[in-house]
Parts: sequence; structure tokens; C-alpha cells
Amino acid sequence: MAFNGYKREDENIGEDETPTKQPRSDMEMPGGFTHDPDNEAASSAGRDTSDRRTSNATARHRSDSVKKTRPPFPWFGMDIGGTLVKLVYFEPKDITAEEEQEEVENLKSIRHYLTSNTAYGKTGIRDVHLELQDLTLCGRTGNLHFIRFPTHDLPAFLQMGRNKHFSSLHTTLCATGGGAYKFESDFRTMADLQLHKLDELDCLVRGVLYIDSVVSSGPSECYYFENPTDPDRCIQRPYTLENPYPLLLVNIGSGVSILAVYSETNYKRVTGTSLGGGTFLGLCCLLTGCSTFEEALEMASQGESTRVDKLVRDIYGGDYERFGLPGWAVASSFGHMMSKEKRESVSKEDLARATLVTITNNIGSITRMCALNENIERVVFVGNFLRVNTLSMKLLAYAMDYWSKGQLKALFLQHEGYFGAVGALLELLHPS
Amino acid sequence: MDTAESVVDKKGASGPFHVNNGPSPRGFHGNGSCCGGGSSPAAPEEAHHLHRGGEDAECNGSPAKRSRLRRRTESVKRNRPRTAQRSNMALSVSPKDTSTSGAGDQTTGPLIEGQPCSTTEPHYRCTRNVVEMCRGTAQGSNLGLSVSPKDTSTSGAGDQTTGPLIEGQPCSTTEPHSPHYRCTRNVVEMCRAFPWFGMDIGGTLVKLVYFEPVDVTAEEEQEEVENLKSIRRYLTSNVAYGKTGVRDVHLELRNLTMCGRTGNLHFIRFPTQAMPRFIQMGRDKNFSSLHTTLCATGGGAYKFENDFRTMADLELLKLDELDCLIRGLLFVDRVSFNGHPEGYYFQNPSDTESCVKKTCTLDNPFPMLLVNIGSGVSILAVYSESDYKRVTGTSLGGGTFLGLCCLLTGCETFEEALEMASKGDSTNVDKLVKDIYGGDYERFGLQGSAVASSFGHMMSKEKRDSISKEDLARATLVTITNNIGSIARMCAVNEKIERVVFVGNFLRINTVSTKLLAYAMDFWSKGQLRALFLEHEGYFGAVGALMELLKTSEDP
Repeated sequence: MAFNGYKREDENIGEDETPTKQPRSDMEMPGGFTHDPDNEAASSAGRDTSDRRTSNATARHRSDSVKKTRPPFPWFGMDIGGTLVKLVYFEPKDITAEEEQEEVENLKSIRHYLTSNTAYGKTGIRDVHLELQDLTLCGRTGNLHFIRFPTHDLPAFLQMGRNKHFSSLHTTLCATGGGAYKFESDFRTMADLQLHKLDELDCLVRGVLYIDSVVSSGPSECYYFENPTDPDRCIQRPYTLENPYPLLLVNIGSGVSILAVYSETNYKRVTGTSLGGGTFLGLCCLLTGCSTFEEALEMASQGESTRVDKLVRDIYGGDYERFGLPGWAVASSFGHMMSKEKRESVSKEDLARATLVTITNNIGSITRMCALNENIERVVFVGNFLRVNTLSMKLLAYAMDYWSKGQLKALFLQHEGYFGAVGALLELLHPS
Repeated sequence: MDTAESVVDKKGASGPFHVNNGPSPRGFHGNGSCCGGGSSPAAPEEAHHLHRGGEDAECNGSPAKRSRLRRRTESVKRNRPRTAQRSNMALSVSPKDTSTSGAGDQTTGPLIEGQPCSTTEPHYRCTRNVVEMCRGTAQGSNLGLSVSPKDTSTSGAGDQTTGPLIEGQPCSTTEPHSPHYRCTRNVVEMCRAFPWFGMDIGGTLVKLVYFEPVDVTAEEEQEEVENLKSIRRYLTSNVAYGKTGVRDVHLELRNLTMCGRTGNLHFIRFPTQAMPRFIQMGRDKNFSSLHTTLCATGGGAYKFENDFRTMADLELLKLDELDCLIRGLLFVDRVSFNGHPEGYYFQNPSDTESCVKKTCTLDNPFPMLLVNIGSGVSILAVYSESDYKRVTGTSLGGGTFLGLCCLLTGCETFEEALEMASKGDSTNVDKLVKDIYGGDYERFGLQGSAVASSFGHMMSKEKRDSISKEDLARATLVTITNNIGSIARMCAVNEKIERVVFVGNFLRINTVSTKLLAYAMDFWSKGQLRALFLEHEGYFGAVGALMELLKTSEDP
């Protein structure tokens, strides 16, 4: 290993087999950076144009207090869920010329492939708008990329990993989600890769707390809706999640888990429900003939659920005052659909809307019960059910506010469904 | 025919007293020889008197026999219109009892309910020599009209002109007066004339309970107006009405005693969609001329109030559905199901081999979590008959199951949907924990067989093409049922209640859901919670409404 002239106070290269690995400073403060005049001349293709540079080589130390094994590149975090695989990839931007020269071919090709495309195959997508730039992780600075593809296409992903000889990189692949367990042997047999399996909720909590702490520029990671029911005045507002505890974390993926989080390391799974994003999509596909989440949402945005749902006023002729149920509240979801006449008069859009509203409200209702019982006022909703789904977010915001008479606040996070993957990445870099 | 007639003639009474109509002996008023007496002459003086308590000691035979003992005082008869409207009057007319509410102090004085009558004073009716709250009959056995504390007249023949309560007149008191005068629209109204109905107009079904008196005396029958008789015959000689009305004969409660009358309680249902036809029928049968109060609960009591008024000239007495539910439930449990327990549960619900249905009563029922699964769901924590709160509800109820099934499978009725569901396999439709984890999610105790995402497989076209309508029906049933179970369990835990009672017509003929709920409560709570069910499922609201009609003075 050629560490030209870099002063190191200690070496911890026992597990480091990748020639490209270089010592870096251990500063990991969000937005922290050091200046590296030695490398300015070496700026080459692939570097960003940011004026942030790593520090002077002589100033680069590895602090005694952080004797970590810096894992070899590439740095991935994977969350293999019931419907989607979420992948976070750290693209280092502070690669020295030397490092680059030594970089093995397949690692370079992986890096190029991932960062020069925003779509992969037929179904893989990189959410560019979620990219976190100039992040410092484990002493390296770079961009964090957020990629997703259907779990259904995992075999193709494995195949690619095999073709690119991923296993020769001898990197640890930290993976969470059910699929980390379900596909463990497939990774091994198909791509000769060993997964480091992590619990999805551990990763989720860790990822949420981390991302909120590092996002310092651009839109606030955490936000809420003001005036959720008034389309003219409804607006997203940033929210600072400092002193976040206790927090109710509602993860809406294929299914739903509800966690009460008391500190970074202390949380419990309160309950869950099987009526989640998977239910919405599954039912929509059946009822409307759509095939994708985006199509389903598009239809829902144009439909009218009150043609499908039986409201309190349809039963009472008005409010059910005795128990504070307003006439517009849904008494029986899909309740009109037992009538042939009504079935023939609704559109696919109405059905899609009703499905969305039903699933969303059910989650909201269960959440509210949990918040009440756990005595928590702040509820954070995450998970890819909320991706590009402003309708559900506003519904949740409204429901929380209305039924709790303003006691509960619904909060949302920009990186929605990626926290598990982030948490997995963090585990790779800072094993707990 | 002779003596009685002469009595009648002499007294100038407006109606026949008990006449000797034939071979079966009839008791004459006053001397109470109900069983033996042939044609013993009635002592004319006694025509005024109320039935004497101890006199029918032997008369614990048929209801018909007992009914012969009922008398009507002359003066009351004079004032009463001769229609089916025979309402009851005050409870207590004992000069000793001057309590206002008439709730009476049942423990003081000689009259203790349920105990042998120890006085010959005419105040409560004695049947079988046991004191029973009397609330009048179609003959207006009345025990006195006035319950004003000021009025202490004995005979209670009543002085309808004294006191603050004059029938048909605006109520002139703010005192809480006798509970068998009801004030509706600020007008004193006698209540409890036949027919006795309780109605629960729900989002999907109308539930009707009808009390068919079987102790109707010949006299009563003669006086019975035609439309009342026709209603009674229509209801009791059919088990289906129109295209969609059904009488659940297997649920009939026989020989029930309510308000001093004995009869059968019938349980009838029809879709709320058919309400206009029902109202039309009420109009055609001239129901409004019966001047009876129609006690109705459920949302439809509010929604259709105007329709009843305009289309059939009927005034509904609107009651809250949850009040009625609880009242009705406790009542049916108390009177039991023709001698059998009303309630049941499943033993070993988690084991298909040894899972067995067991009956039970709700002794010490409180506190209980009551889950009412109709079109939608309400969950109540009940601490006593009058102390309960609505904990929460969910809109994913029976209506959702049926609506979704109709959409997904093309079926049209609840029965069809259940039939399909019984044949399907929901695991082809739902994504289970093992589909995501490859096994259990041990960390949080989620078995591989648990559903992680309902309908979760259906986003895949391949899977959509491979499942059947039966699978879809099953998945819908399982999804809705499990969601309710999950929410109920959360409530039970939070309210710290171990007994969860499930009612509502979603569970009618729905063993799949019943067992699933029993299983879910047991499994997820590790045996802490127990699910209970009741045979009369969705009818308790209607029973509660009927009870409001027959409200006793015991009720506050």
C-alpha cells in the first residue's frame, strides 16, 4: 500500500485489503471538511466542483479515539423490503489521483455505472432529488445516492453483481429488511456475496436520526403541513426535529410497523398493521387494472371516494352528534359498493381514491390510538407508501390534527423509505 | 253469558267484562277464581276493583288463564278511546306510597318485587302471587293514573283531570313524572299500546323486533282493531316478507314476559334500501291510527324521521344506537335464549382439531369491551349498564367486506360472499411474513404465517392471473376481520379489559370471522384476552329500542 508521505499516527489496516484505501481524517461532523492542498493538483474527472477539499496531508490524522476499521469501497447500504429494494450508495468525491489509479476496474465501473445513470435496467431508479452532496462519512467526503428497484427484480441485481465480480471486492454487504434473510442464500450462491444481516427497525431508527442530523442545506429533512385541508392554503413547512424523543415512528411500507422511540438506542415496536402500501397497490391493481404505484396514485388524484364510501351522513342524514362524528366522516369504507346501481356508477378513479383513503385513514386511526396510549404527541410517518403521495400525507396530517383536536402533529421526512438502507450503511461504517 | 251480561247492563259499563264464553271457565273479576270458577257470578261492586293479588294463587297455568284476571276499571274504560290504544298508567297508587317517581321504594311497604304479595291493597299487579311491576296491558289494567305525589287516590281510577298530567295536554310540570307518561313534543302521551316494536335502522340492515302477545284474552281480541290484528298475523305467519324481509325464526324468544305481558319476541330484518317500501306498508296498514309510539334507533331513525312522518304519519321516538345496544344485550343475556345461554366462546381457538364452541352467560359482565361490527365498527368500553364510553371505531366493517367482495368477485349478497370466502385461500392473495423474510420475523415475534401485507401479492400481474374469486373473497374477509381484531385488541389492552364481546350482523352465519377473531384475541394476547359472541348478534339495538318503549320505572 502506498501511502505517500501521509503521516499516520496509527495504522489499523488489519482488515483492509483494498489498495485504494487511504487514511483520512476522522472528522465526521455534518458538513465538516478539511482542506487538502496536496490534492488540488490531482483534481481529475469525477471530482465535484465544490470548493471543499480535504485537508493538508500533514494535518490529516486519525484520531486516537476513533480506531475504526474503515471498510473498503464500495460503501452500500441495502434494505430488501417486501416490495422494493432500497439501496444507498456512497460515492466518494475526494479520491486522490493515486487512489484512482489503484482502484480496481470493477469498483470503478460500479461507481461509473451508478453515478452516470438515473435509471437502471427497466425498473431501477435513482432518486436524484434526494441525493445528499458533500457528506462526510467515516472521514471521506462524497455524495450519498438513493436508488430503488422492485424486490421482484432482485435476481437481475444479483446477476449483475455476479457479472461485475462484486465478490472480488471483498466488501461487506450490509443488508436489512426481510429480504436480507430471505435472499441470503441467493446472494451466496448466485453472486458469492456474504450479507451482513441487520434488523430493519434498528436500521430505520438509526437512519432517521442520522439523516435528520446531517441535512443542513436545501429543504429541511423534516416537515409538516399547515392547513392540510385547505387546498389554497395548504403548505409544507420545515420542522426541526431536535429533542425528538419520544417519537412515534410509523413506517408504511408493504405493511406497517409502529414504533415508540425513546432514545437513539431505546425503542419498541408498539404494533403494526397488514393494511399498508402493498394493500393499496394490490387492491388498486385488482379494482382498476392499473399496474404501477404511480398509475394508481394518478387515478386516485382524479377520483371521488365519497361515491364509494358510505359516510356518516348517508346513515344518519347528518352528524352523529352524540359521539362527535361529523356527517362527512366515513362510516363504512366501500359501503356503497354493495349496491349494484352504485357499483355501476362509479369510475376506476373513484375506486382508486377510495382505496387510498381507506388505507390511509386506517393507518391514521391506528396511529392515533397508539400515540394516545404511548402518550406521544409527535408522529413521524416514513416509508415508500408516501413517496410522491401528497394525498395520503395531507390526509394523515389532517386526520392526526382533527381527531386529536390539535394535540398530535404529523411529521414527514424527505427521504421517506430510505432510512433502513441508510441505517444499514451506518452499521457498515460504525458497527454498533 | 247471563250473569255477566246483567252485570254489564247494570253497571252500564261500556264494555263487556269477562264473559263466560264457553267451556273454559273464566275467572270473574274480583273474586279471582280463575281456574276453578265456572260461572260464579261476579260481584258487581268488585267490577271496579282491581285485581286482587292473592287470588290467583292457583293460577299458574297458561298465560291465557292468567290474562283472565286482568280487569279494567269502569271509569278508566269510560275515558279511554276504544282503540288498540290501551295504555298503562301509574305504578303505584297505594295511599302509602307517595313517592314521586313511582320508582317506588320497592323494598319498603308490603311490596317487594319478586316476592309474594303481602297485601291486598291494589297497587301493583300480582301475577302468580308475586309482585310484579305493572305497566298496563291492552286492557289497561291500570292501577291508577296519577303519580303526582299530591294524588293519593286509592283506586287510581284516576282522576285524569287532577294533577299536572292530562293526556293530550301539554305537560304542565317540570317535575320528572311517572315514566310511563312520556312527554313527546311536550305533550303528555300514554305509552305502551300495542303493537310493541323496536327498530334499529342501520346503514345496511333494518332490524325489527316484534313482541307478539300470546296472553291475549278473548275480550282483548274482540276489541282489537283490525289493523293491529292484521299486523300481528302478517308478522307471525310469515317468515319472509316481500323479496328481502326475513324473520329469523331460530332466534325467536318464546314465552317471554315483558311489561307484565307474555309473548314471543320475533326478530326480523330487511335491507335499509327497502325502507321506503316498509314505510309504504305502514301507511297501507294504517299504522298511524294505532297511535303507538315507534321506538327507533340507528342512524336511520334520524335519516328517515321525516319520511316516516310524511309518508306514513308516524312519529319516531329516536334513541341512541349505543345506549340501545347495551340495554338490549344485557336484557337478552338476562332472560336467556329460551333457557339456554345467549353467549358463547371458543375453547382452544388456535387448534383446529380441538376448537369447540362453548356457551356462557355474561355474569359479572363489567367491564367489557363491546365491539359492534355493522356496516362500520364501534368499540365501547362498558363499565355498567349506564356507564360506557365509545373508545373508537373503524370504517372498515361489514359494509367494506361486502362492498369489496361485490367489486372483486361479482357477487351480490352477503351470503354469496361468505360462501365464496369459505372456499378460498387468502395466502395466495396476501403477502405473509415468510414471503418477505423467508420465515419468521423472530425479533418481534411475528410468525412466518402472519400476514405482513394484505393483498400484497396482487401488485404482481402473474399472481393476479393465478388466483380465484374465492381466494379474493377469503382475503377480503380475513383482512377486514383481522384489522378489527387488531384494533379491538389494542383497545382491550389500553382500557385494561379482558373480555371482548363481538356483536353485529357482520358475524351472522360467519363462522370464519368468529373463529378468526377468537383466535386472534387469544393468540396475540397470549391467552390474556377472551372473545365472546352472542347468538342474537345484530338485534340488540332493536331490543334496546323496544325496552325503551316498555321502560320500567326502575330506570332513572
